[in-house]
Amino acid sequence: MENLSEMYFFIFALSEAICLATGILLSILPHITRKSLLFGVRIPDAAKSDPGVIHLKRIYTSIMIGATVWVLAAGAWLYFVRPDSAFLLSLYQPTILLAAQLAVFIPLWKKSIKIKADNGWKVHNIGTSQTASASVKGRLKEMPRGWYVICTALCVLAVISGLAVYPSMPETIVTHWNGNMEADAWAAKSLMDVFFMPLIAFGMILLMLGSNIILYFTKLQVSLENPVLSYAQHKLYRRMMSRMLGFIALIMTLMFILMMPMVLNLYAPSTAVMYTSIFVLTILMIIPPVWLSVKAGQAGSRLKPVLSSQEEKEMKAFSTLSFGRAIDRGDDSFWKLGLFYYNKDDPSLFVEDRFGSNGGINLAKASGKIIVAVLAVFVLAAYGFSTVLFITMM
Amino acid sequence: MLLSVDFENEMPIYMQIYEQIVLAISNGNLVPGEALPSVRSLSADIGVNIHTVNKSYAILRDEGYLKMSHRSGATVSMMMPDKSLIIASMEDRLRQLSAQAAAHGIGHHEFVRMAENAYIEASGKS
Repeated sequence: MENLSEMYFFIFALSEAICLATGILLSILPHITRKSLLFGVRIPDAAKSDPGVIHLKRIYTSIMIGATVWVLAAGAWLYFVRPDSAFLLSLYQPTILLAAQLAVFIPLWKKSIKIKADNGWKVHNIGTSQTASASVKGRLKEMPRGWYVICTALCVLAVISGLAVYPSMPETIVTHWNGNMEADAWAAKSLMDVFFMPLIAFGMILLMLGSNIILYFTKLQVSLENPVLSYAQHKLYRRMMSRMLGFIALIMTLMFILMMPMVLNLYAPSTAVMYTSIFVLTILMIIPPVWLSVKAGQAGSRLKPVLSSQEEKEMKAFSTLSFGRAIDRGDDSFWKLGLFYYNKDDPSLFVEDRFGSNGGINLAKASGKIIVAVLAVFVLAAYGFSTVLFITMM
Repeated sequence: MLLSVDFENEMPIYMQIYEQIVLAISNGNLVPGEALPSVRSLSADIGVNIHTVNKSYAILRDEGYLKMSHRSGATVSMMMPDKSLIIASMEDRLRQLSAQAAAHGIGHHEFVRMAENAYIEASGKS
């Protein structure tokens, strides 16, 4: 059963690699994200070099590094004791890291609120709107679509090629290979075999496209100190994000289409080829988001977009506007535990997250509650099902 | 054009929106015929209740700054209504401002200078 242990090792190695990458990224997160947010609490830009602030960030980083090392070591130990736990490991290692991050975040959020109050830091609570891009139609027009068009074209090409070779396929084809890449199930060929992979690929394309569209619907949380620059950064960031999502869609499309020759029995790759290509494609999918986070910062806060002359004028005008007395509260009161957005008066469903560059959902809206509930059910069901499956495989 | 609203300011939000749009029209940041965001999308962007934005837009429409249509939403008027309508209410407000100035000992010339600076800033012309 040598090839089986090869597979276990491969899954274990992949899981450790993903944990390492995730752990590193999570550890450095406060240092690359927006400076005006300290663990979900809004602080003035000038406070970012306060020793108390830096101290909190260091606490977080050291704990996360420790958690990463622990998860990697525990995973390695478990693998050596029971190699067939590899699948279970790949399911729970990243989960434990994320749980550790949550456990660390909430106490640090409480400490951040205290630091802000102790120092008497005040942040303006300002709502802004860029009138030109405020209409949704205007926003979607700017979304780069080329990648998705290319991916769809590839799917169509794959289907056409599949249909072309279909007549020359044998009547009975292999439908399943075991861990040793030996055929162990056969069936009569059908046209469904031609459409199967392209359909899955197209599903993935739609998923990425959907995420991209939601990204453009997300309400922006602009920097209060310099909203004009912030808007320009956001526009640029959304473009970059779109291209990244499109690139990932392309990788996934390639992944599924490259499996077609196997499905159509034109060629059966060796285990080495199989595992190497999956590994390479997975790495190709992980690198862009990581690179984008580091390069662009949270929601583009590190980008230096070129401003139009109109934008330059507005930037100067904004800095001379005086606002009334600023109160300590700001919009922190809407962010429960620094993580969950709850604002009855805000008609937006999707808002920018305060930690990381995901989107947050307005939990005060009924549709928001429904979306979160459905997602939670899906995730729990997926975990439960996978756990049971992997345990029975052991 | 960037619209911003200070939630902690004592001036009501609908007033802040109203004033900024009037200012933008006066200094050319919003040109005649230009489309403004729909009530829905503006309220979503800023994070305020739809009725607040609705109120601003209604006042702006009543005073002739905006035209509302079902198809194209809110647009800046191509032509403002006759001056004479606004002059009367302006003279009322000027009378109040002048009274405040005089009562605080602000001289004639200083007051005129304040008015000049304000006009230059609002109209974007010098």
